[in-house]
Amino acid sequence: MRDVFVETENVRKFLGSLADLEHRGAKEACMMVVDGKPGLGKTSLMARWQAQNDAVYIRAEVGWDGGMFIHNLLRELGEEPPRAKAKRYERVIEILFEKWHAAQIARRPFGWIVDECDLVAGKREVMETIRGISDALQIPTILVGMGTLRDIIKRYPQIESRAPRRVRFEPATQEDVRALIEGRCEVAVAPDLVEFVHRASGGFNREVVEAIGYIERFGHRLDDIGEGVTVADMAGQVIMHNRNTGSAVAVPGAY
Amino acid sequence: MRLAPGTVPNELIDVLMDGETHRLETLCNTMIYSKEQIIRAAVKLADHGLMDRHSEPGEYRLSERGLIQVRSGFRIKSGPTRAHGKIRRQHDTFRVRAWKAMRVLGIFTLGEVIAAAERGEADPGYNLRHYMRVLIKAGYVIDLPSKVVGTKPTSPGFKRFRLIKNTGALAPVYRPRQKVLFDFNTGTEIAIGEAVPCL
Repeated sequence: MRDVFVETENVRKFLGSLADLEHRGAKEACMMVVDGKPGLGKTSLMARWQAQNDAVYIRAEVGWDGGMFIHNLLRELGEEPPRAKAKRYERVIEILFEKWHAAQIARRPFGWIVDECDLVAGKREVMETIRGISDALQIPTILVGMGTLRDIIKRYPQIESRAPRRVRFEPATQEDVRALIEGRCEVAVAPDLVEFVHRASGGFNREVVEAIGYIERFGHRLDDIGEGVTVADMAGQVIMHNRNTGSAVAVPGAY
Repeated sequence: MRLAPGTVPNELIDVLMDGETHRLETLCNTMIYSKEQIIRAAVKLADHGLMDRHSEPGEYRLSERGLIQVRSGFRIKSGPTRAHGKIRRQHDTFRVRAWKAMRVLGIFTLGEVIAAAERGEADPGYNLRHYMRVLIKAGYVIDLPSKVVGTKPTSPGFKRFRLIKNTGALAPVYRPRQKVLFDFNTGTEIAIGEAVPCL
């Protein structure tokens, strides 16, 4: 499997929203909610975006309160947290501002990401801390979580109004699946098998990547794959596992 | 007229090279420079360790070490007096991006890290295998016993790694001359020997 990052519709939506955020009217509306079911590529995208742009990334944990959030954020920023609570908050603002300023000079996008935000979204103290930092700096604040994050945020009108941009990760389209297979699979794949992978995977990237592994293993053993591995070639072969039942999904004999 | 860097200090060295003590008033009479220029030049010599600062006010004499240095040809040049001694931080290199990706992913294969960190480098896999070996030797990363099944008929599979020592946002750097891994987050150096790419 090729080690490349493939740009899908979800990636384009995320980057588009981020660009849109730069040109927002209300400067305080700088929060963005990214949500969607597991396995749609949120973490892969966040890993790439933050690595490429030197963004700040923090993964929220169950049981955090406002103090722990600031403490861990400071650690993430490479600073030993001061003893005084007020000083800790000040340092977060200072360091984030320095990083944002450096990004502005280098003309690259910058933001800070709170991953698994739904784990702390029920805690008013944490959410208000995030809002406070976001208001103080007015830099892109990206809250990432699963499908329910947006619904939880609705409890806080003051936060919801600052996050008008929502990127919901949707299951991959057939075009996305084709791009993923073309980009990552080392053997050629025929359109009928691409279509089957799309249908069987339900558009979940995780399952598509699993299918690519199976197709590659099969394709490398064939002497001649012609214009690509077809459904007929792989008839009866396991291609992925169903995420709900855990059972193997085999390619049907006739499709 | 603006003088070239080191002009007055070097002329002061020429006068003081006899090893004798010279008074400021005498120097003002013998040299063509003002009192302030001579004092500044003397401070420069003291900064370079050529002159002792604890001599009497208004009396200038080269130290023993300074005499040896200037007699062996040392002269003041422009630029810093010595190396700043700090380790240069790396910014936006492939390894820095790879470290950031590892921190997000937690458990990963080399391919996953490359997909997140590469930016058109010639051979990111080779670079990452070297870096991973260093991190494993330093105890930052462990390779897990379970592998991701390979796709080619003879493939032994892809190793999976886990970051167990996530010390902070700054990527540790390998210093090949000293054969150590330096961690900016903790300020510690870990001796690891020669870095070879991990398989």
